[in-house]
Amino acid sequence: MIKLHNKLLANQIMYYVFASFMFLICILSIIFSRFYIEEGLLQYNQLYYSSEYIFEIIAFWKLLTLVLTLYVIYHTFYVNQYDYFILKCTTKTIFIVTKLLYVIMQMLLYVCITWGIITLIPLFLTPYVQFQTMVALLPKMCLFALYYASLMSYLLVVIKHFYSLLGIMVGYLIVFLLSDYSIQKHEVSLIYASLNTLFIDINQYSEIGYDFLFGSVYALSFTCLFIILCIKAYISTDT
Amino acid sequence: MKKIKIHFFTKQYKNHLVQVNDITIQKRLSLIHGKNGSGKSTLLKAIAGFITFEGDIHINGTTGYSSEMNVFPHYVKVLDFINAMASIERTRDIVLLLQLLSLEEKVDEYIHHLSKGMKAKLRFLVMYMFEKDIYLLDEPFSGVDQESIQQMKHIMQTSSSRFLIASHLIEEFEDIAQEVIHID
Repeated sequence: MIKLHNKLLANQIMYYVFASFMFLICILSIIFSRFYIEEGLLQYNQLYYSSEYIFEIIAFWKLLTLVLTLYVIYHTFYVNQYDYFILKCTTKTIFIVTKLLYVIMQMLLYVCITWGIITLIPLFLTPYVQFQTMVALLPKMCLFALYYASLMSYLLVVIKHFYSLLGIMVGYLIVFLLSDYSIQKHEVSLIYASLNTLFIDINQYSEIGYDFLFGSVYALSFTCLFIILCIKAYISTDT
Repeated sequence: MKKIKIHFFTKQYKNHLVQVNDITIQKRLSLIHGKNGSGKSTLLKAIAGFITFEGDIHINGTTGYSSEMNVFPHYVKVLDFINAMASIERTRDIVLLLQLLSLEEKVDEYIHHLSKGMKAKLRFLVMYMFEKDIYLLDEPFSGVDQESIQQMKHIMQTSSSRFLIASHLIEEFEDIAQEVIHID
């Protein structure tokens, strides 16, 4: 069934969109790596430049990932409603579970490829690379993409309107703009913390580095919850 | 031929109520006729098991369903779509069906490039290629030319399966419908 979704959803436009996002990440990585600065200077201020690179590229990566997630969910659940053709041959549960699994696989593939780009470009162009930070970031980046994919899927199945996805985008942008750099978790403002309960964000905290405000377990729990709610909502609503 | 029995069917939408008290469908080629908004499509979806409702629907056998809407996946070619669908379940002879519906020259085209009538024929083909006991068709001839209507009617008449068609155009089905059920 996952193969079937792939045959029906992986069209030329989808490939172009994914390729464009990866190309954009590639260009941004090259620019933010500051390869044009003299190598001696880069080597002397390795820690500063590598931290700056990760901070800048992660910020853009998060925004691009959110836009791509929005597109993938819109394309999968809103534009392509081929349910009638398939539901006579399988159950609603199998249909929605496999569709969600397909989205999860797509997002994980995208995160892994972009993570590779973000990690490898400074390795070739500059004398610095923070492998440890990047390795620690990979599961959090995966979780970030999956959290928003599950939230958007759930809202689109329930509300059945594209504006529900835009609402998530706007909510995240507010969190993004409110975020402070290199502070401790307990120092965040009340409004930022409140918004983070729904619009989770990976931020740089002085005591532990890049993390979700309420930790990875919180993000993972809510990802699972939204997936379950999405399945339940799909099964209980009319086709 | 086993009967399809509908007993005190009620479907409540936000601003609309569909109610059908008692219907028994007995013939192989049956038409559900009613004006727009009478609940024909709702009834068909309920028989197909796509929607929740109150009341009873007794049906024996497997069902195939063809929607009135063009809910095809985007940017997929006709043959790729048919082959993808054929991977789910055992099918009838697809090449023969393509010939019977004059779709064989369209197999390499993207579905969204097809005309309204061609899309209707493709909907019919994708429904009929799976072997089912009862086929439920919602406005199957909408936007279809006379030649194509005859092709679809020919398949229905020569098939051993049952067909339950919902339409507001009674005259299109006068020659094939063995019974007509009116709903208000």
